[in-house]
Amino acid sequence: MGGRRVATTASMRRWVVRVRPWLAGGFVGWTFVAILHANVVKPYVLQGQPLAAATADAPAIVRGLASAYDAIVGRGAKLGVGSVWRMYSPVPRRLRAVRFDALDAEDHWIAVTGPDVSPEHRRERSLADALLWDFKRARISDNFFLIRYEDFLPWLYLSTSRERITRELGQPPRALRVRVISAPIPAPADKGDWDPTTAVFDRIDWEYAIQ
Amino acid sequence: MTVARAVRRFVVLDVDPFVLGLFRLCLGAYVLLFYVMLAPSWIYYYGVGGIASCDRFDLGSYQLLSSMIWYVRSDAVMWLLYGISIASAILLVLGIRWRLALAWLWYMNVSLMFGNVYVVNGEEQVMGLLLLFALFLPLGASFTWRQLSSRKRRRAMLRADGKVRVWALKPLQVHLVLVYLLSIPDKLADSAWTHGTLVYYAMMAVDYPRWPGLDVVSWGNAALSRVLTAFSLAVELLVPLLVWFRRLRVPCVLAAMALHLGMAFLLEGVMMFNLAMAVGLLLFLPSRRTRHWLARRLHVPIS
Repeated sequence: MGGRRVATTASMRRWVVRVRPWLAGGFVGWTFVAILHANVVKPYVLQGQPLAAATADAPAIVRGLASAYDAIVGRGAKLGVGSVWRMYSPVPRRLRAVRFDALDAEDHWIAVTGPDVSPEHRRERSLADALLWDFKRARISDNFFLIRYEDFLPWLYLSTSRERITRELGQPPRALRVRVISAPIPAPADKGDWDPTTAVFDRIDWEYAIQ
Repeated sequence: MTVARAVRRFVVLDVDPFVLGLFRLCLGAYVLLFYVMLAPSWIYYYGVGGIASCDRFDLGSYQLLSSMIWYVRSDAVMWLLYGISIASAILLVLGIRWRLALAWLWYMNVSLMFGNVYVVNGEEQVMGLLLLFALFLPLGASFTWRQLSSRKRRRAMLRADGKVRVWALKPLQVHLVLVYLLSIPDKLADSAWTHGTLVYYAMMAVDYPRWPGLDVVSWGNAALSRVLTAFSLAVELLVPLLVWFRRLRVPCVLAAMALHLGMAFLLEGVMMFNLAMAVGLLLFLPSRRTRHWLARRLHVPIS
């Protein structure tokens, strides 16, 4: 018995020694493919979509391979590899706020998150969630919320997120109006006594209504 | 075959493990700090009644490994997960069962990242990267609790002249320099970076800087801002290229460390991201030279 156990252990050890370089090579290869995927293929070639979506009309075998690619490389890249795409983006130069007007509720100024939300997240998730998250986090007064944001496209997300907004407002709004306002930071030469902590948000950049 | 050999020579290295242990110690301390700082917001961010407004199972099929916190039904269990994470970070610092601790911390990080994406910042992404690759690195050869517990053992650690084979170090280093390189095109397309006013604008935001509206960066037509912005661009452009040359490695690491620690000091909102990058940069230090340098400082004779 003892002899057999020793032999089995030795055989397993030999097997591990033999397989280990392949595992290491696979991991390293996957790493570099995932980096390439997350930083080049996904943002520029696939425009943020999974490969399976791009090959929806292709034959079954191609779709199967595309799904396998998405699972192994696309999703795998999210486990800690390759997700550094545009990690730290330029700092916003305008302070912005978004105003949600619900007809049945008081005016709400909603804080919008900053450049931390990557373009990838913006595409894949409802930004209204982010809005409502900041709504709770960055409350300054009962109906005013301060935020910063660049390249903000609330209409894209609001149109799909009315239910959630309704839930947050506590009643179903007949309509929502979103207004983006800002307090632009002056250029260094024009700064004078301007102070970000007392800046007045008075420039309407953009307005959108959902009926 | 030649290509395979070249790839193997690039990836598989025999290195002095001293700096790997230092990296483990600092990574553990960083993760511990991360969790301690998260304590006041733990339930608020990730708890059952927390602010993640998406339904917990909405994303269940989306990820390869589902976030474990989607399946948690009580705050008590959330605190249990928190306690295990703190204990794992301490074990990682001490070098006790560190690989098991790393595996837990990595999966916990994945769980947090996808448990509530709206509180994710660069730090979770860099931490995920460091934890994943660290799993495959021999980090237990130096700076363990046992080695640090007596003067004799500390001296022995500084004298130990061994080498270990690593294959996960180079991919991790490549990945870290990509963090700089991939952000360069965006920066060069942004006039604040090219005109040198980036630091001024960053300091004038309300929620980024530790001291919003710090006047000194606007003096002399933002002269200080122009110097700091140019330094930042130069580091991010040059360090990823020059750090691979042996003689330039230490100056590159020091310059990048100065950049990250400076940003962590001035910009509150990105402190943890910058500290994570600083921890990652330790992996570029020449291990043997660092060990000898420390030995000289501590008056430990090296044969």
